[in-house]
Amino acid sequence: MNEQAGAPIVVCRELIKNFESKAETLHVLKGVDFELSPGSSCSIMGSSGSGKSTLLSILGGLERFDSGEVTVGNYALHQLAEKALPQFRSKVVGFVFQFHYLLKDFTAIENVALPAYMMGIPRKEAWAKAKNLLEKVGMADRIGHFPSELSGGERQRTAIARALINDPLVVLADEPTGNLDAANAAAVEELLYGLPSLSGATIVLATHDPALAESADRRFMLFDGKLSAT
Amino acid sequence: MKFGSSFFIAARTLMGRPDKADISNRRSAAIPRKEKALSSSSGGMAGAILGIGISLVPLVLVLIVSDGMIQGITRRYMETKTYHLQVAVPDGMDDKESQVGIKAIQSLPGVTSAFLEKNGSGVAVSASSSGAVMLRAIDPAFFSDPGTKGFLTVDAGKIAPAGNRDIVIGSSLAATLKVKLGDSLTLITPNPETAANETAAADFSGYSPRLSFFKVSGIVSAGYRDLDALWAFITPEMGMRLLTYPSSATFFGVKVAHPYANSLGAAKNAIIERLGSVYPDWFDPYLARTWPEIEKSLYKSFGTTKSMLLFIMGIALIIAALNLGSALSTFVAEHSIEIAVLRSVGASDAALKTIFVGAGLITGSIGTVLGLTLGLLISWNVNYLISGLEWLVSAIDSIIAFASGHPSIPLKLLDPAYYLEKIPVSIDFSQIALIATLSVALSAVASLIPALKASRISVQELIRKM
Repeated sequence: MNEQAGAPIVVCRELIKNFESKAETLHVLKGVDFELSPGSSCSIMGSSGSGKSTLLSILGGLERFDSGEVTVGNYALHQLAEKALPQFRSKVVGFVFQFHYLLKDFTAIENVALPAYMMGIPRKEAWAKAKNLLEKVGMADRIGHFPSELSGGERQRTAIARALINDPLVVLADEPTGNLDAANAAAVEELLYGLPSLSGATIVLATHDPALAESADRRFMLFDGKLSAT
Repeated sequence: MKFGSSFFIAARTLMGRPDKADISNRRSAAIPRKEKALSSSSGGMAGAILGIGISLVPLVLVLIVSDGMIQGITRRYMETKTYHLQVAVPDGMDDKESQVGIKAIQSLPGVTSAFLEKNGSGVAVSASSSGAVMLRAIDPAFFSDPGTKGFLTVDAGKIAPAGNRDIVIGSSLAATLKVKLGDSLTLITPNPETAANETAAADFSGYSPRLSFFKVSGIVSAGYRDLDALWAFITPEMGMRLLTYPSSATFFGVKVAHPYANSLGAAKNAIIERLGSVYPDWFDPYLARTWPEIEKSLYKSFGTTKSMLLFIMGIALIIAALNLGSALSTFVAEHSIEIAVLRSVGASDAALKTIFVGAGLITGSIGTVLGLTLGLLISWNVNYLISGLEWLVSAIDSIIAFASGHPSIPLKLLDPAYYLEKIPVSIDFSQIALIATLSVALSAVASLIPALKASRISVQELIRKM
């Protein structure tokens, strides 16, 4: 990580996001303020529809917002042009979804290597890096397997390795254990919270699960469009 | 995003990899319903590949077969009837005078041979039938010319009349007249004395036919009924006696080394220049004509028919490309989640478009290779396939005839009575390359809309749906 220790890696100031429809305007985020330090972990809890996924999408450059300031790494998203977003997504953030969404026709190592290969990293180098990451997440013996040949936990660990391939500053995990049984959920939880020491990445985790949220360095609750520390 | 990675993703996503059935089955119970939805079939893309391939087969077949047939017919016409060039000369030109012109033409670069021909119409009468004939009196060297020998085959007897009472006729004419080798044949031609008479020329009163008696010394075939049904060859000496102006024409028939090349026009100009100096008294440039000028309407009709067929086949190819576009659109819809994931890991709009245009190119290329291979294979073996089809249909017909008691009529698709005896296969690889390029380009164009759709898939909507 090339961020200076102490300087926040994520900064949100007065973040407001509304969804307009013909019938009404939905005020999802009504001025969210928070900061995260490099290499830390934080969890965001909240009921369904509270705006957790929207907040993660904004942090990941997938969603635009109405007002406020959001800075992730050196990227000020409120000023960033649409064209620069793909580069931001590939270099600064990594996503882990509730469902693994691995590409079914690609092996575990290919799924992990793809984001790097797409960035222009030579194939050999991308594959070597993917292999190394899969080893780190305990998938050394499954690198040549297709998603259909992996268990739910293995798929999610592969998805985590994929999120880490481009050395992101921030990993955004949206309900990462929501689709797993207790044993696999525990393994994935351990892996996610170990990421700061494994790769130096900051973890932002949205979840319903209080047990999963509890292990984070900082815990937030998103309620009525406002984020508060718990 | 580099092209290599786009190509890798496009190729792998299109072709997929077969999952190991045993492991899939074992694990299938653990795969959530929503995840299973990702496993779309690639049947649509296989259908698109097949569609392009199948649409190319008739296109290639029409192109090759029509080219072969047109060239087969034109070549026969050129080598046995029209020559590559003709120069009309005055009727009654004596042998000495004509030899001067022929030698002058033969000395020109690119000219392979030149002959004096005199032809005209007559009626042939046999013991049991009669029919109109085109009498041709040509220099005997014409019959030993490689071009003539290549297309004029001897069915019986000799290829050229040896004596003044010998006549060589076309195979279809022989069949019409019901004559065979050695049979007698009477020719009725206009009497030179009465034909020259002014009154006779005006209203045929006082017209007296001239009867000449011949023996069939050869039966030949050019492999094309239009030619075989009319021709009767006699010696130049008999031609001088029987064929007289205005019911006959006399000309130099010229053959060149490359009749299909643009140099034919240059050869014509050279002949015009040379004969202008050899025969300054009467020669005029309009007297020289090339083979496309002589049979203009015939070749234009061939060209139009070929163009129409290619146009129809081209429409089939466009429909196949649209089918590919439709299959790719379905493919995009089925793989929207994967596309969204690619976006989330940094794939730009341009990268996604590249992937799907690449997918279109790959699909189109595979279909094109399949179609061209199959089309070329069928074209190369078209005569065997037609023979096989004839045999099969005739066999079925024989069985039906046997069962019903009606007579069997064997099928003859390539009956020389109507067309060529066999289809000459002529492959112009530059045209094949053009078709291949067109097919792949159409596939790329057809994939633009699905590519645009792919680039508009929103990751946020995907996340909200989860």
